[in-house]
Amino acid sequence: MKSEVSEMGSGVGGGGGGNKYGSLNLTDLPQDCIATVFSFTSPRDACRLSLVSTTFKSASESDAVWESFLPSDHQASIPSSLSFSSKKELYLSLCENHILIDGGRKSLQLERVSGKKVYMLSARDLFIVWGGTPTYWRWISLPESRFEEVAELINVCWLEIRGKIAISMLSPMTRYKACLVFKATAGAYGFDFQPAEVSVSIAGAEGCKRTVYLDAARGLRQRYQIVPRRIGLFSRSRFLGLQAPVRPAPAGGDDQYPKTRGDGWLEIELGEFFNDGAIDGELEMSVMEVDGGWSHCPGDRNSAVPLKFALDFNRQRLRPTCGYSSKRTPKRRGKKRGVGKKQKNVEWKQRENKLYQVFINSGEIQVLAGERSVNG
Amino acid sequence: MGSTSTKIKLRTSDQKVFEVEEAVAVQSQTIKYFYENGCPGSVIHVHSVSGDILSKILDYCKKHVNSAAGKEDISPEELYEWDANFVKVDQNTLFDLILAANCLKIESLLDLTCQTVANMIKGKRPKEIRTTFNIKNDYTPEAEEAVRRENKWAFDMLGV
Repeated sequence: MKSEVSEMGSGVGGGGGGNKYGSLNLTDLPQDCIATVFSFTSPRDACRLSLVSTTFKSASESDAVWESFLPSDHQASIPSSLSFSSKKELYLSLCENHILIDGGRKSLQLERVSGKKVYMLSARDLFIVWGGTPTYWRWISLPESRFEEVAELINVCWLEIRGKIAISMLSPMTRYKACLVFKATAGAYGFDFQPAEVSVSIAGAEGCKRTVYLDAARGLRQRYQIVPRRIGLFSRSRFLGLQAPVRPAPAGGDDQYPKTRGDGWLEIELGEFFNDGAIDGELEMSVMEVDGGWSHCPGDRNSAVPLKFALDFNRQRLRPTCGYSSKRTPKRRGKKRGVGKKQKNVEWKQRENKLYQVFINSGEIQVLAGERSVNG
Repeated sequence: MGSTSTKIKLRTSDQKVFEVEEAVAVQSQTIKYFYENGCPGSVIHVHSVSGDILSKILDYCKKHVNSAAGKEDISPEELYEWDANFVKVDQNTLFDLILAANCLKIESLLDLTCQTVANMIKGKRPKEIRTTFNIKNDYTPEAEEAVRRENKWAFDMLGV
């Protein structure tokens, strides 16, 4: 009795190795083999492949290819209300628009080039020390946040924010960067003076700690060697008769200062983490600024010790007045240019209680680098 | 199972006969199926694979079986290196290996060969891919432009 292994109907295989170069074309392979080849490329390559020829287009758009680019657990995260005509459409949609998961406490998005998962943990999902005490933190809604609520810092002497996420939720073989996404109007008090200690580590383990400044203006000054003139709205110190201590630019570079994001928020890097896919447990990120000591007393405006944070109780919202942190520059600033110092100080006085706002939007887990590997 | 003395006979498309150790031959899920469901001692016809290609494939299977069984002292890095050299072949042989690995259902070899072709695609412009694989562009200029627009983001970095 004979057994036969002849499953190929395409009639191209048999000849074997003796053929001259070029006689067997990539397009001669069965569709599922082509799909396997394409699934070992990347989403960007797959899109480019669609331009090679019409055969390549249909192969590169097949669900088998794009399924491999999607996270293996994507189905659990996608609301059943969303439906897509193809896996490619689903993939591109998840890159374009985040989806809220975990009852709106987190958001999930894919990084388009690699298909790796990017998470945002809402302020409600973060552990904010004193977050439940209205004297220190207030929970409000901001249209520019994807989450229902953001935390508005009122006044604290102990700034501690922690976020945790199960490592199993992250994409394997990926280097991640954790950031705190926040917004502070220029000169938010105390941010300027006190460095904050940030870290990213496996929960329970001692992480590598770094020092950062939450004040973006300071970052700009350090970078461009701008001597602070401290006039008008920016000059709380001047008004108070204080001069910010001039510190030499710390070694460490740009990641010590917040960067402006495309969405108008600021982000400060907390640290990096490489998920090799074999680690259990939780990833923990933290921001701590407690060393400055208790310094704020509402009446004590001339305290020589910088107030840590003094914030707006008024509902009027001042946009950051430096061009670097907001697309919209308040009209007021333009108009007031060239106005005498005296008048500025008057304006300042009127606003002294309304100037500083800090909003904590979220903690974000971004993809730094992720190679697609043979073993997925 | 796995006894070194048991041999399986395979006959290729060009009528070459190979006597292969069972442990090596059953790396192919297809051969394993026929072996377990056929008569003992019968010859299994591998119609779609030539002798040259089957010989290469058996080398691959032997290497991996011996390595896994500890018969051969080879580190994972060395095996990786061996695999890399194994697929340093001309395109035609590579495609033949893909066809054979697909037909014989040898998953690790299929992944290795497909990954190799994928590496020849990665980061290339469509024009370069056409040249590499000798593929004719069958788009009309209008259709090509439409596809390009549809996938605009993928071309942003290329300047094509």
